[in-house]
Amino acid sequence: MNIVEVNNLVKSYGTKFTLNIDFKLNQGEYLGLVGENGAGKTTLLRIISGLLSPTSGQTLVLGHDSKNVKKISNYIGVINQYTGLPDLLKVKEFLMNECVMRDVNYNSLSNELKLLGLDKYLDKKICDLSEGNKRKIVILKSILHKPKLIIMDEPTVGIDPMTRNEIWSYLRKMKKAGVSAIICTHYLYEIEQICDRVIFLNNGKVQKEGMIDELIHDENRVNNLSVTVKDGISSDIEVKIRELLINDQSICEDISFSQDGFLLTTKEDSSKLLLTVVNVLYSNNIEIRAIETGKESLEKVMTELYKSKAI
Amino acid sequence: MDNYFKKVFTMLKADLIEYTRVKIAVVISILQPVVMMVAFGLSSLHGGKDQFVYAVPGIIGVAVMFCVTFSAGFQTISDRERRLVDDIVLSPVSYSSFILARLLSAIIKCVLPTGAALLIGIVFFDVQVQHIFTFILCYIISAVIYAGLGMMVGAFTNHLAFEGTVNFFLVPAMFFGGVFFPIEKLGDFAKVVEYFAITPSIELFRYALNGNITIGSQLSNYIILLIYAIISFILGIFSFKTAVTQR
Repeated sequence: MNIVEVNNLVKSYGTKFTLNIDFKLNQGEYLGLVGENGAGKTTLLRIISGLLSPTSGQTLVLGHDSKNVKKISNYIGVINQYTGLPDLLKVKEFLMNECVMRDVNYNSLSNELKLLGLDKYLDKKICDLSEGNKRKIVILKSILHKPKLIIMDEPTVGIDPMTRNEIWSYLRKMKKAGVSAIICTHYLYEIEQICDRVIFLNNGKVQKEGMIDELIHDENRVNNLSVTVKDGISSDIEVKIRELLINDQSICEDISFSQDGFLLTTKEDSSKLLLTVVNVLYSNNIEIRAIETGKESLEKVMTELYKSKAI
Repeated sequence: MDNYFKKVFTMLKADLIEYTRVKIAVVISILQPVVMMVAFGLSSLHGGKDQFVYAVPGIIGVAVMFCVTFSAGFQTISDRERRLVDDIVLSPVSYSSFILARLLSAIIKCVLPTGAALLIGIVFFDVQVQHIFTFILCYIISAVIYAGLGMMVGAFTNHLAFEGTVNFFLVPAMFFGGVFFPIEKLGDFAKVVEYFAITPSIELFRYALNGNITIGSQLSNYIILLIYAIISFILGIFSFKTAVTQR
């Protein structure tokens, strides 16, 4: 059974904005939602959570219509970008209350508290905690009933990199345990690291979607290798380099020279050309100042989508 | 059912713990009714005894009205602003248990200011409670009315708009509802004012404190109050649920 099935979903806000989407989420799969502000990501997440009704279409969470929010509430955990915690309660008081609300035994949280590093703060008031720790509490509160699906809307926004890594490390453990997730974040690196699949939303529509690996290694995409040398490249050396890299190396697509170096383009991983380039320059006594590979990343995929005006 | 009330109690307890940790808010909530009681009480020591005796039930009625309305309203706004309502929607907790917890919380939070004003009246200015049961019952029914009103307005406004909106109802009620002078002095308009929620509330407090009723009977005042309480409670729940689910 699919964890989530979004069928012909439409949500209209007059003539201003219409969300129109179809997709499925499998068990254990982490799906990233990417797009500009106002693309419809949060709207989609709120519909799947049951917090918002669609104009038409259907969203099923483990076979239950998400309109029936109380029915799906035991299966989903929602982590949103707002902390929204009762600041004056102590961490332990708050979590104990949340356990009562969810019919969960507080003692069963000891492992999660340790994993998230919250066990040290149990007797502190929530208002005295850092934003990172507050966010960890939100995460723990949202998953203490062991949901099968986690819906995350900007879960690490405004959080320092260390805490972000701790949070993602914890969410990776959840993934291994078979939990599914839909993640919306502007940190594309995080999506690249944790998600299996990504959907690019633009103005309420799916612009592009696919498995992360496939998108990054899309055969039509070109990667760069930029080389800067100390004393420039003479015309005879330029010819040599062209011959070696363009004619003999089929993976090299193009090369353009400038005063202080050259730029190679390839459809393969640009780092594969690295050794050849270094050898050519070394054998011609050319001193290298810098070599930079155009790293393949989701961010680059998105940037190219922007550039091509497709998004 | 046990589980239902356990959740109500847990939400109520959390709310009251938070409330008591903002000490300044507790002190300020006590201030208004206490100052009113002291001001009228002092006047009673210098020839204003009759006016004071007349005003005490009104002071109590107004204290309940303002305190419960603002408490329930601000709580509702705060719940919305910190997205606590999302958590309620997304959890197995029923709307009714959440509303009941918030209602009880508003009623309990206002015991202190009302009780403090009454205590000062009893200790320093010879105020007596003749019918304690009527006092408690009137307090509870009145509190339900104003909690419903607070939730209703709080469900659709922010802090600034809330104050303006509820004052539109509460300020006229305070001045026309028989707090400072008998409503008979309003002439024909008194027939309208009789049916303001504040009027039967003050009349029942008057009976509880002084043993007399000047408008209607005990029963008629209870009936009017109860009708208001039922309507206000239902509208409060409906407004809250509408505000939460139709976003």
